[in-house]
Amino acid sequence: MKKSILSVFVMAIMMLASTTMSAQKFPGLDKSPLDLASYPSRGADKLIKVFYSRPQLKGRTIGTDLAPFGKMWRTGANDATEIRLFSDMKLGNKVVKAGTYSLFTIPNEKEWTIIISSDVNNWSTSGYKESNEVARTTVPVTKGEESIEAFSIVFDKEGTMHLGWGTIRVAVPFTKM
Amino acid sequence: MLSLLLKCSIQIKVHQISVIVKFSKKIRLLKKLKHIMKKSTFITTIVLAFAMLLSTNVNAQKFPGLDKSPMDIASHPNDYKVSNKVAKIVYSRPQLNGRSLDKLAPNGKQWRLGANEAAEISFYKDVTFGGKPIKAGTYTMSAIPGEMEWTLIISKDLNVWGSYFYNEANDVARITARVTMSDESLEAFSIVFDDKGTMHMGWDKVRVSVPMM
Repeated sequence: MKKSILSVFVMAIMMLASTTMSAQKFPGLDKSPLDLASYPSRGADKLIKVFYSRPQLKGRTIGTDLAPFGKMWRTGANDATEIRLFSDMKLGNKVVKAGTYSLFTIPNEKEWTIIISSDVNNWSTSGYKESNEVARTTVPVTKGEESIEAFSIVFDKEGTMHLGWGTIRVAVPFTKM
Repeated sequence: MLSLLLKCSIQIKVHQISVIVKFSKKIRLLKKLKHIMKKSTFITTIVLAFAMLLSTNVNAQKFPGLDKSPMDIASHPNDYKVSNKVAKIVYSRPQLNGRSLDKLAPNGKQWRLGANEAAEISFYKDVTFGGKPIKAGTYTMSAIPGEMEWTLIISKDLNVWGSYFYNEANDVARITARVTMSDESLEAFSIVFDDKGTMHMGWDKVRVSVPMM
């Protein structure tokens, strides 16, 4: 009798294990959801597409808790932010050839450093190599009146890429060659 | 004498009336003026306010809020530490919100496999996907759901919104995959690769798997 109870128990566990084994697990929604900023924002003829994850402030401070000043940042969350150029573009004075790159930044109080690297598909800044840098430029920080909860990237009609989080605003000019 | 008095009084009355009339005319004019002044100040305030609004609008760049159907990535290998990927899918994740799949992804109709822009699939090497050879590259992936099986369409078209701009001439492959039903309902449309590289799609109780080699 005792043995049969044991066998029932073992069988039950085996059945449980087999159902969990056969059922494919699917991921839930990400806390820092991925989003897309593209230029131009409408139409299929894109020049630039930026895939970035959107962390939220949740009462934390930029520069200390989030995107610490002076340190390289993935410009978002999770995977490094990916920037795709469908045409050769100029970032400041540097020419960047059409292709897929990572977009890194070094945030600071008064200015941000913008880095385009040929490393792709990397988690955070783990894949950054100085030798793979394609372009680097520095842009000033301006202050917005409104505080933005989720890190945001958007292109304006002229092709300038605007980064916004909290009251920090950074404008990165891209021009078509 | 009496007649004179009468005349006089009539004259006075006439005079009084004319004075009153003149006075009331003046008042009306004044009122009109005041009204016009009020109106014009009102209009100028509105114009000024509008101009100020416009100027702040021009200065302040607008940033988008979080999307209702957030984007996500499914990649193989799934491990985030591995940057040498074989395949990567970027797709948007609509949620059931009490609706049925018959409404959200109706059988027999082409579906963008998610929301917003059509799902995008990148292969970093030549693969066999659902039995069809596909060269390394970036494509859009849409589907025609069905009760027993789904048709997946891999197309050269890129950067397309929904499946409205679908052009059959740009098809790279059409893959047929069997539908299985799960006990568990998934609220958000999901794509995930398992360790073997098989792509699994799931929404509500519908599951569709496509092997990749």
